[in-house]
Parts: sequence; C-alpha cells; structure tokens
Amino acid sequence: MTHVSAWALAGALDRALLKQLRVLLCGIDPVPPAVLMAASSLGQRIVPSRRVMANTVLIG
Amino acid sequence: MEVDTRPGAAELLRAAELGDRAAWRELVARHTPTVWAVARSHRLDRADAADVVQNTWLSLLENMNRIHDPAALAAWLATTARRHSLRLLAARRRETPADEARLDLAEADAADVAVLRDVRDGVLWRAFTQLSEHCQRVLRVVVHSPELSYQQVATALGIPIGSIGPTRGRCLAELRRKASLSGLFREDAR
Repeated sequence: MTHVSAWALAGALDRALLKQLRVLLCGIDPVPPAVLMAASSLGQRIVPSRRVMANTVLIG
Repeated sequence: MEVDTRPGAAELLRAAELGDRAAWRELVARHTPTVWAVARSHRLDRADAADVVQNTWLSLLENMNRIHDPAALAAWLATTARRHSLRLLAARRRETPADEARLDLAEADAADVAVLRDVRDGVLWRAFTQLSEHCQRVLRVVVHSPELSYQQVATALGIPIGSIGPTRGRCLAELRRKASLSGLFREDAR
C-alpha cells in the first residue's frame, strides 16, 4: 500500500500553516534537553543482535 | 526540490540493533519530538511526558528485533507513546482525587507565552490555545510528524481514520480564522 503522509494531502496554504505551527510549538513546548539525553543514553544498553526474521522457520 | 539524503528509519534501526550508538542517537533526535507531542496531546505535564518518552524508547529497546516494518518506526513509536500515556493517565486517576487533578496543559503553558519571540507568534499561539482540545491534540501530532499517514495519526491518537482529514482541515481553518481576527493572515481571510 502506498504511504501518503498527512502533510502531503494538505494544500499549500495548510502546509505553510502547519510549518509555522511546528516552529511555534517546538519553540514553546520543546523537548527538554535532559529528556533527549536520557533517551540517547539508553543506547548504551543495546546488546548487538541479529534481527529475528519473521518468516524464518527453524528446522531441527 | 529538496532531497533528503539522510539514512531512513529502517537503516538507522538496523544499525542501532547492531550496536551503532550514533544511529540510536539519531533515531532519538529525529523521533522524540513526535513521542513528546503524542504525550503532551494527552494533556500530560512535562514530567509525565518525560516518563512517557523514556518508557517509549525503552519499549523500542526491548522490541527492536521484533519491529515488522522498520520504515514505519515513527508510527510504531507514536502508537507506543499513546499506550504509555494512557497507562500513566489511568495511574494518575487512581492516585489523584478529581479535585486535585493536574494542571491543564494550556494553563500550564500560559506562562510560556511571555517568552514568545514576537507578536505574530503570540497571536498564533493564543489562537491555537483557543481551539478545542480535540483540534489541539490532532494538530500537535500532525505538525510534529510530517511523515505519518492519516492511518498512523489515527492509530496514535485512537480516533477514527475518517475523521483525521476533515479534522485537520477544519482545525486549521478555525486556527486561521481566530488568528485573522487578531490581524494575522489578513490576506488569507479576504
């Protein structure tokens, strides 16, 4: 199925307003740096692994 | 036309799974605003929204090798953030009497208006806060997640897909009308 974003379906005027609103909301209600840092630091917990293939059938 | 040459979510996720911390940091930087927007659209205060962000990324960490469609990672994160938000809201309702309910998001953010860069932003922000709660929820998620489809926005917010397009159009029209009353978008209102 083709993925069409909500923004792509908006007209030019609406897209311009969405962009303006995005800048505004990011300025007023930004993600606190500490929150970003905490989420970034979770990467240290990653144990390198191989992807489990959904269609793989293990035999034996 | 601008061409985005950055690695896609699927590529970053694969790299992160293999232990590439830079890829993980890039995923976090790219998608946390969406997770944050979903949490805030559920009227959670900043501390609770921060918990939702942390729990959502923890969920990804635990399920990294089970994401069926890595290209749709933003939608997976948005949906997971919604689940964590609802769980937190339910817990809060159990532990907080109704008359001591948490501050309304719009009220909590009212003080922030003081730091708005200019009058234009102030007008737009006031118009935004005058929109219905439903409009604010939908717009918060849509503006922060340009890549999400209607289906994905609907899933993230728990509302029917058929209502996303009309709601987006109606809410933006309402936002434009309210801002026009204060002098913004005068040219559009004619």
